[in-house]
Amino acid sequence: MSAPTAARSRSNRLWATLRSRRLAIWLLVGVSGYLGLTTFVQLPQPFSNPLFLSAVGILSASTAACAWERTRHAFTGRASVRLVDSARDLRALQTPTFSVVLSKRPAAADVRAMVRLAMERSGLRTFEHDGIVAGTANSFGRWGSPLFHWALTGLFVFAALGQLTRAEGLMDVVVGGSLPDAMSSYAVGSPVAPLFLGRYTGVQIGVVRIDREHEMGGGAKDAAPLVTVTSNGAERVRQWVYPNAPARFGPLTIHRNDTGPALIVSLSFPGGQEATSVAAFFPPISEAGAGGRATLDVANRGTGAGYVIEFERLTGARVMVRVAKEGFESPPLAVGDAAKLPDGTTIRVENLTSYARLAVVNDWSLNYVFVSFCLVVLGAALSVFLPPRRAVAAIGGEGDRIDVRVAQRKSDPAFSLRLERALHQAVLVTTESKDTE
Amino acid sequence: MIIELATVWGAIAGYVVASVLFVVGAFLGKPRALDAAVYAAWLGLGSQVVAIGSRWVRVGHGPYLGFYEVASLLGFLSVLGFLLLQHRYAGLRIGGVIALPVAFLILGATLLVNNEARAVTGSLAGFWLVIHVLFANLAYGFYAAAFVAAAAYLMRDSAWAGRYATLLANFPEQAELDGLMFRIVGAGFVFQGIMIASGSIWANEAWGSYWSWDAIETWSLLAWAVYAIYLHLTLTMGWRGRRAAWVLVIALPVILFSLLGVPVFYKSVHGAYLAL
Repeated sequence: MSAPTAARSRSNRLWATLRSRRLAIWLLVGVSGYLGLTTFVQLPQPFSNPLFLSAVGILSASTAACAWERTRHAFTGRASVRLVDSARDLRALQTPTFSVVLSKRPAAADVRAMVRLAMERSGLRTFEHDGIVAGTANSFGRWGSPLFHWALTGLFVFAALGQLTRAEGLMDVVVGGSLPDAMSSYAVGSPVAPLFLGRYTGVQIGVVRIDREHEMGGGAKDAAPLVTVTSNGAERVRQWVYPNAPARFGPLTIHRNDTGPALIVSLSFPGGQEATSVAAFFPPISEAGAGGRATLDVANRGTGAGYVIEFERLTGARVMVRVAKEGFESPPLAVGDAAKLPDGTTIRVENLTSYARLAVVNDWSLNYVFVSFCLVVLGAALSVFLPPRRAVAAIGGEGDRIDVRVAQRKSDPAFSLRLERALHQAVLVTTESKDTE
Repeated sequence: MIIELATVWGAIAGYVVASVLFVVGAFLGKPRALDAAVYAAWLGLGSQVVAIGSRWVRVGHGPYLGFYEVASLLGFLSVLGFLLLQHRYAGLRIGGVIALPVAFLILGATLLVNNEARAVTGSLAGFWLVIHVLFANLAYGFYAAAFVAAAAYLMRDSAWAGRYATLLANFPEQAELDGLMFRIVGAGFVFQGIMIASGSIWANEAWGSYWSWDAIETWSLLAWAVYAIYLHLTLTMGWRGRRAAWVLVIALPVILFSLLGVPVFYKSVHGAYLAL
């Protein structure tokens, strides 16, 4: 076997395997079993397990193969609904789904009228060609299955790509301030996917103010920050952010995670250097209520010695400063007050304010995932609620029976039964009315 | 509060009477008892409408939060669905033997759990809550109906058929029942898809992540996959009748555990909303 032939043979085998119905079912069984197992057995990182990811990957490929097959089928099926092909219909009628025997031999026109009546009562639109009565309904429904499978493939692909290229993190922004969308602005250890590749947008995310008891549409939204997003010097977003109302800009979605008190201080080091508007964050409200302590890692710019300054909130908008390493504790300080630390550094309280903890997600795939999911549901709905139907009928035998062939029976297995009943009814009614005449 | 409690008991009484009449009508072959059972079910349903409505007015939101409200809605939709179906397909009237006792048990169970009103605040506020809970109830209700159809199919198909010939004579033909199972599951599958999709969009809006592999999310996906297997088996492998019905019988424990077991046994972000 030549190399290209062998390669083609391999790819044919792969294609046949992927579009195998059994494979799809066994994969679904395997994935379902695994999902159930994860709730009963403690597995480490169960949903990033290579076994699970491989099964989902093969399921995606199988879904894509299935989508391709169904699209081809829908195209040919569409032709069969729209176009009249008497030869094919006659071939199909050689193996009828059912036949209705006629006790008398009515005129061919009468028989066709009976069939049309029965088909129309069964919800089919009818037409005739070459002595054959054909009825169709819901021809658009045949696109349901391809749509479902393509959308499901898209869902798998977009969700996977999104997970591989997303980043998220918590950002503490002081009221009146802003931080850039950059790695340094997020908490250490924020999850960054392997293919994110540092694609931070660099836009400034700011908090104008925090409304402690925000109300919107008559409903209480708790504490809500007014968030701004500034890009290239222009403010692009200004929005109250609360649950179910995140701010969006490009791939960024900005949620309110929490709020809390913040302290702004300035430091004057013995060597004359200064650090102004340094923020220290007390634990957010949900973690510590109004209590808790804030810390600041400081390196004396004169001596280079590092130490931790601890702040404790006191009543009456005052704070106490401690340096545990030196056994130092200041008297209560209000805004504007200063204290000298043991190494000679002067610390001045500039402001006691608030901050918003924002959860920022950088994920371009969100809308694609949601649209895919909606299309999955739409495809399923088309398949279920608009099952495509086609039936053809002709006089068979020696004019003493009606042969009917019903197509697309799988998506509505009881349809042929209903049509058969309707046809019996039509034959009965027509015969009785003829007898009466 | 008194109206609510009285009408809940009224609904339970209606469903109990209907259950007894359905059993009498079905097993003793008394068609008039079946007619009376349908009337009793409608009366019970009317009483439950008043119960749900008065609570809605009292707490300021629909039946979406906590096991009490969600289970009440499920019971209500089950009875409503059954009554509409039996109106459309007279042969399904006999299904009241299962549907009404189940509704009675669901409603009875709600009396054993905490029925304090939960406030719709924070992430719960929004129309996604209504869509998500409504379609969850519809999906699980349809799956339960599919189970009833499958059980009936298998009963008639088995050796029991002779013993209960009178009871089963009223059911639709096997082929029609088979088609009905498929259509009911198909509708449940679509509704569950809407439930999962709306839940994931809502989760992203509220929590910043559309999927967290939370126990309830995982089991919803599992249930969806199980019914996808059924649809695949029927549509592509030609499974029909007995084999397909068995798949639906086996699927029921998955649904029950997903709906009742997971909130009880596992910590979940949904826990607060489905708490007992």
